[in-house]
Amino acid sequence: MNEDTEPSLTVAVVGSGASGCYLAQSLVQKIRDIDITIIERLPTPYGLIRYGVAPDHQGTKTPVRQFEKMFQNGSVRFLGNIEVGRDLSLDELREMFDVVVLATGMTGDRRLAVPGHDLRRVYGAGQVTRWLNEHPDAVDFEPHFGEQVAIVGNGNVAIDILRLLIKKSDSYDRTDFAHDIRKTIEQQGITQITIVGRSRAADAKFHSHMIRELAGFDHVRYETDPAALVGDTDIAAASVKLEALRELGVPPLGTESVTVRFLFGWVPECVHGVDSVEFVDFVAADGSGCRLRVDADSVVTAIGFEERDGATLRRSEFEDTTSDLAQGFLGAGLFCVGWFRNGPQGGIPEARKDAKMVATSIEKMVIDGMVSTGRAGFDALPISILAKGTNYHGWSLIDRHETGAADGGLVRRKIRDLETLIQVARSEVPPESRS
Amino acid sequence: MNVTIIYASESGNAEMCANSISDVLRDEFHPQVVDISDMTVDQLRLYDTSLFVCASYGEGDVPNSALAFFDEISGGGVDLAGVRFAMFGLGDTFYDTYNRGADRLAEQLRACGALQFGEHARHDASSGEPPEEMAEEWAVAVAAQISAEIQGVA
Repeated sequence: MNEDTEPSLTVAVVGSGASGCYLAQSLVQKIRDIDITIIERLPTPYGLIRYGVAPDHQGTKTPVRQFEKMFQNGSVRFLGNIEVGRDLSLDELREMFDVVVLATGMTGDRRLAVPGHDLRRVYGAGQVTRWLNEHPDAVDFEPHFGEQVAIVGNGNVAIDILRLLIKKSDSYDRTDFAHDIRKTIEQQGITQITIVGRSRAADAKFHSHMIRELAGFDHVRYETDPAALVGDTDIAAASVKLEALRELGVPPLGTESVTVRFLFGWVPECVHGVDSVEFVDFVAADGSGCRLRVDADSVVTAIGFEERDGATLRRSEFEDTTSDLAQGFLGAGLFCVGWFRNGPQGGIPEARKDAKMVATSIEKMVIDGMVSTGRAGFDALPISILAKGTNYHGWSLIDRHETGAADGGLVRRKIRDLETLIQVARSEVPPESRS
Repeated sequence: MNVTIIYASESGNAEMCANSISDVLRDEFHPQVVDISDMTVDQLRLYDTSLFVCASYGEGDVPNSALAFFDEISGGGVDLAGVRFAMFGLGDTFYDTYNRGADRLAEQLRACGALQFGEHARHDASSGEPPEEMAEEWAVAVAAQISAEIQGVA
């Protein structure tokens, strides 16, 4: 954007995950002379693309290249290390920017609504994923999986965790899975993982390619009740899932050190243990009254996400009779996108689709004169915010540091500590003063 | 020479590649860049040359945005004689249906009588190679072939 031109619209996007970045990308394509700032709590952008996508799924992270372009060519500004709701309020932000879009996702783990859900060694999948991916918030998390793990839920998040708990250490070339985390998992000596879902196998939430990815681990024996693998074969998606599961059940070689049991059609009833979990009771989902006991030294609950306890931005607080959630519209100049808007479903392509929809919605409201303009945007931010904030150049320093520090076949060694991330982000004066 | 670049994207990578290809071809051919969800068979016939940039999705399917167009050309009785196209596919060797989406789209276009020219490129997300760089190199080669075609006609 020509710096001498007044911006046609100033926009603050809160959250730099997939939906926030795609939204910025889409708005830049639609509105000339728009001035967009993406505000992120961490000094690192990209949200779940960096901290949610499994470390051995690097190909899934390629959309980052699109966002690098938009930050590098200056069409979108990155302001890191600033938390809306703590460093400045949403009200203040709305006074400074014509449009504010909330793209903060959903990071709380849904808890099991059964007795014992809060026993020690019952862990949320989101928390475990952040630990596996070296998120700064997980720095103090020390899971004890023990020998027997029960995973409740069998969506893709659950399967990612399953895979990362069983996959052998030497197959992490070209990933960014940290050595010490791998070692920690190995040392725990997991011998059995039972993964339990409430639906029938044919309706399970995992994608079949996630199951196929589990094949070929010679040290793992998979067990699925053959009765569970009978199902409708006229529905392609279901048939492919069942096929993938069937193909896991090859005859044992005798080299197995870990057993993985897939159970379908069971709902948790009670988590038992004196201080930490010892076993979990399940009841059949079909109402037959059958019960099943699964011994477990730890439980990972992968049953979805919800608003985090203590989240400062809650969608319900902004909804009123003028809101139109289906269009991402919350109130005057306030919009929402992605999981924050629509609930914690969908991956990167869904985030892109949602972002395009909300961008169209914003564009239309601007054209219709329903958005008041003329606010200064980034230029209105107080000095204190600019002093605390980090920028895209700061992220590129972190990025360079992490890729440079990679050793032993890894593509990256993430910096885990927040203070260090901030320090590295600040460690050089960029060639131009604006990001 | 009317050139169009048609992208079928899920995550935006194919769209990004389409824009990179457009940058390479712009001065000489001024191509239109179109989302496949906005493309119909009638519109396709308006172009001398179409460059498709197609990602794979799900079980080796074409992206959702391509479904309407794909259904139109699969319906039977569609004649694409005279349509020349080249294909740049995006996939991930991580999946055993690697690049199957772009392969299926090319197969179906050919089945309707369209002529495929140039290299059928297949980018691999797991290779670590930036997709838009591969797309740029491919675009340079395709541009040379389009020019040669024009000169051949003249």
